[in-house]
This record gives sequence, C-alpha cells and structure tokens, in this order.
Amino acid sequence: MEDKGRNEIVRRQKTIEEKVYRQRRCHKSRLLSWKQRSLSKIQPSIQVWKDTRSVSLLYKILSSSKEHCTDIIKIPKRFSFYDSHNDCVSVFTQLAASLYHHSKEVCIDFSECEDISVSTMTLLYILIRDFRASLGKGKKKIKSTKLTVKPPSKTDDLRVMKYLKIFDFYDYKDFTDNDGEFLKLPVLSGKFRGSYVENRKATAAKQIVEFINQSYRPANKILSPKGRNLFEGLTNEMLNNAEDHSIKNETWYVSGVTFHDSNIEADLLELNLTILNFGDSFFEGFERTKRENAANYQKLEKLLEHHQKQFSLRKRFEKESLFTLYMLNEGISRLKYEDASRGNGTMPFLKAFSDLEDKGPQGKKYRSVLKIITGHTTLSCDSDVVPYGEDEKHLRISLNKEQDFLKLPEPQYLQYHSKYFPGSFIECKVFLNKNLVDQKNG
Amino acid sequence: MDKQTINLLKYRGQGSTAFTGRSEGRLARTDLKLDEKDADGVIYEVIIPKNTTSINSSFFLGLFYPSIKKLCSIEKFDEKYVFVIEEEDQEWKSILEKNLAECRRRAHNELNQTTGIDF
Repeated sequence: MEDKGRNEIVRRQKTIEEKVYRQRRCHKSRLLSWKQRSLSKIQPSIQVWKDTRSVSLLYKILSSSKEHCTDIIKIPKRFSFYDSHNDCVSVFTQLAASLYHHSKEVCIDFSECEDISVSTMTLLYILIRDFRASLGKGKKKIKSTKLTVKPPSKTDDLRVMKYLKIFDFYDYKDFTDNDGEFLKLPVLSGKFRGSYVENRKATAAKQIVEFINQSYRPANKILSPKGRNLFEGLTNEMLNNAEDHSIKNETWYVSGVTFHDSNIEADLLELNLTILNFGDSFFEGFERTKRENAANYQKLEKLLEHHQKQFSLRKRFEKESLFTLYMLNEGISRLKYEDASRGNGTMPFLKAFSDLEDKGPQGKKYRSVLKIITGHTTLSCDSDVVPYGEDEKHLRISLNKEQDFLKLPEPQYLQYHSKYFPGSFIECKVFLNKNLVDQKNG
Repeated sequence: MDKQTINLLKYRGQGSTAFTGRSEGRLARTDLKLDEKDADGVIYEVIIPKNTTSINSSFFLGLFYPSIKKLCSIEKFDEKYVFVIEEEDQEWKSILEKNLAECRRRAHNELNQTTGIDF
C-alpha cells in the first residue's frame, strides 16, 4: 500500500518535471527563433544608425544619397561655414553619404586648405568618432571604411597643421609647436536629463572655465571672478539655447581651442569656442510655431515690411536671414506661447560676448567675433555692432554701425546661402580681455 | 508676518556652481511648490548658497516668473521673496547682485510684454 502511494508521488513528480523541461525547452527555442527572425530583418546600415546618430541624422536631413559617396573629399581653401558655407555643406554631405554607405576608402584632402574654424573641425571629429565607435558593435560584422587624411601642401601653414594635430586627424611626427602654444578642450556633449541634479550644462560651463584657466597656467594667471562670471554666463546661455532648440531633445556638443601664438600680444589669449546642435534652424523653429506664437510673429513681420521698403539692388536680404537677426532681440522666442517669460536666451550671450572682449587699443588690433550659422544663414557680430541700449529697457542688436534696428543691417554681417545646414552653430573667437584675468596666488 | 527659508543649494546641480537652465528652474519650482507659496502670506528668504559663481536669467525666470506674474509686479515679488546671498567675498557678492538685477530687468520687460523690436 505504502509502495503504491510512494510510486504515485514519484510518478507525479516525474510528470511535473517533464512538463517543466518541455516548457523551458520550447520557450528557449521560441526565443531563439524570435531573435533570429529579428536579426535577419536588421540591415547593417540600420544597426549603424542606432550607434551613429550624428552620421544618420546628418545623412537624412542633408538629403544625402549614394550619389554623394566619394573616394576623395576636397576640403575648401577656407574650411569655415562662415567663409565657405556651401562648400562646407557639400563636404559634410559627401562625408555623411560615404560613412553611411560604408565606402571602401575615403580620403579627406586638406592639401589646399589655408584656414580652418573650430566648428567645422568639431563636426568632422564628431562624425568620424561616432562612426568609428560603431564598428565592431552588434552581431553582424560591419564593414570598416578606411579613412585617411591628406595634410596641407604648404607646411608653413601652422594654424591648419595645429588643428589637424589637435583633433588627432594627422600625426605630424616631426611637428613641434615653435610658433606658440595651443590647448584643446575635449568635445563635451549633453542633453536635458529631466532633473536639476543632472544639469550637464552647468558642469560643461565649469569645465570650460577650468580649460581657460589651464590655458593661462603658463602665464601664472586665472580668470578673475568677473571673468569667470561672464564666461559662465556666456556658455550657459549658449548651451541653454542649444538644448531648448534641438530636435526632440537631441544632444548638444561643445568644443574649444585656445591659442597663445607668438604673433599675438603676450597678454592676450585667443579662445575659439563652438556649440553645436542638430535640428531646426532658428528660422524653421519660429515658422513652425507661427500660429501659436502669432503676436510675436506679427512683430517680426511688421519690422520685415519696414525693412523691405529700404531694399535696393545692392542691398537686400532674405526673410530667413532678417528673421534670424530679429529673433536675437529681447522678448522674441518661438516658445513664447508656452512660456511668457521666454525670449531672453540669445541676447545674454551676445551681451556677455561684448563684455568679454578687449575694448582698448589691443581690442582694435585683435578683433573678437561671434558667429551664428543656422540653416541657410550666417550672422556675425564684432565690436562694431555689439548689442546696445544698456541705459534703456531693452538691449537690441541691429548689425549696423548706426545702432539703429530700424535701418538695414550691414551685408557683411548677415548672409544667406543656397545650401542648408541642419542645425545651429554658435562659434566665438574671443581675445580675452586682460582686465578679466588675475595673477594667480602662490 | 511669518518668515521661512528656501535654500536653492540642491537646485544648483551636482558638481555645479551655477544656476542655469529654464527647464531646471521649472523643475525646482515644482519641487518647491511655489504655486502654493505665492498665495500663502508668508515672507520667504531665498538663500543663494556660498560658492555660487553665476545666476542665469533662464533659471531665475523658469523658477520665479510665474510668481512675479501672479504678484503683478517686481516690487511685490521682492517683498515676498527676499534674496540673501551667503557669499562673504564682497567681489563675488557684488557680481551675484548684478546677476539678480539683470534677472529682474528681464522679468520686468516680460511683464510689460515689450520686445527689443517694438516701434
């Protein structure tokens, strides 16, 4: 009797164990087949897309295609969006296409390049870094594109050589910086984290201040409290702007280089700083919200009508470019309908920029300049056209020497280009005012 | 009248010495429940902690503009929210006071709904 009972228990246990075994076996094979099915549908390029957002973003927004793939990407003489906007857009269209379609080999040819900006080098660096980081990831082996750099043919072009070395594009084995000193800020990036604790912008601004102090170390100087406050103000506001206006909370990037060349006065440090975000241009963002933002939009249209009456054959501007200028003024924001206190983002950094530069005799010799590259428009601001109106209620920017926003801007400060850049660069070259620097104690 | 303290230290961000970011200002406002505090008849001392190196208007407006709007003027806002800068270094204190003055100027312009291109 007891044996029967015991056998029954054992039999039941065996049955249960078999069921569990069969279930697990089936479950595993179901999973595998689901995984196998999914992987078979994923093409290498989409896997790459997941890991190289910057490449794929640029590729899609620039409407790049396989036709733009090339073995040699020719860098223009002036590799700067401000000076050669269309040529630079072409360079990045070709690069995005070549990386996206895994061209066998791409040579980035700097042989004719004589001048470089920190923003184009930063963008180049980001794309190549992201692409290289994606290689080797994922189960399927992704083809590698062989990337080479052809250096400038004129070896006395030190500034170009320095930039290539700074961004690790070309290792000049016998290159020594005889001309002066340079220092690079590593490319920083961030996005809104949904928390005041993880405020990446403030940390990035602090790193930039440390970077400037490091640049002054050979002279045993550091930024004064006023200098630090101005600089943090400038970079924080620029980063706020980049974060607020990126598409779908995309990443912003910051990079910088300081130079202390022997042909610059001993007390001056040349700081080149750039902040980049992909997304709508200033104008596009504003156009998207024109219905919700009707009151603001009408003010811009009213000013546009006033300016259009002053157009001549020699002096005329596109709507996008003029709107970009108007939007820099206080109280104007595409997000005004969401938050009535919006419209104070860009003027603070323009004001901080003007406070940073040297207004003395050296300032005339070494001119600081702030550039905004957004969509089809490039805009620049130097000491002749900085914001004005400190004694009035509002600071204004007009980009003319008369400091009158009702008059047209000067054409050299506001330009429209046929090719489009999908995002915004804010780039500044500042010759730091020695009054903002203190001697270091100890 | 009752007096209470609001310390902004935790809203400065980890490892940061600056108050920046409109979104961060708004999050701080929610955390502090300022919507309730605006109407409660209490005077608040707003502490700007030591080692603060900048107060950006974006943060200030994200945090306080709804209060300024509710109270209808900067003057009434200043009576209700009294700023205290903990910094002892006079140079830094003066710089931060200028930052706050700039924040107030912007808030004032927004309250009046004026822009830099009005004509």
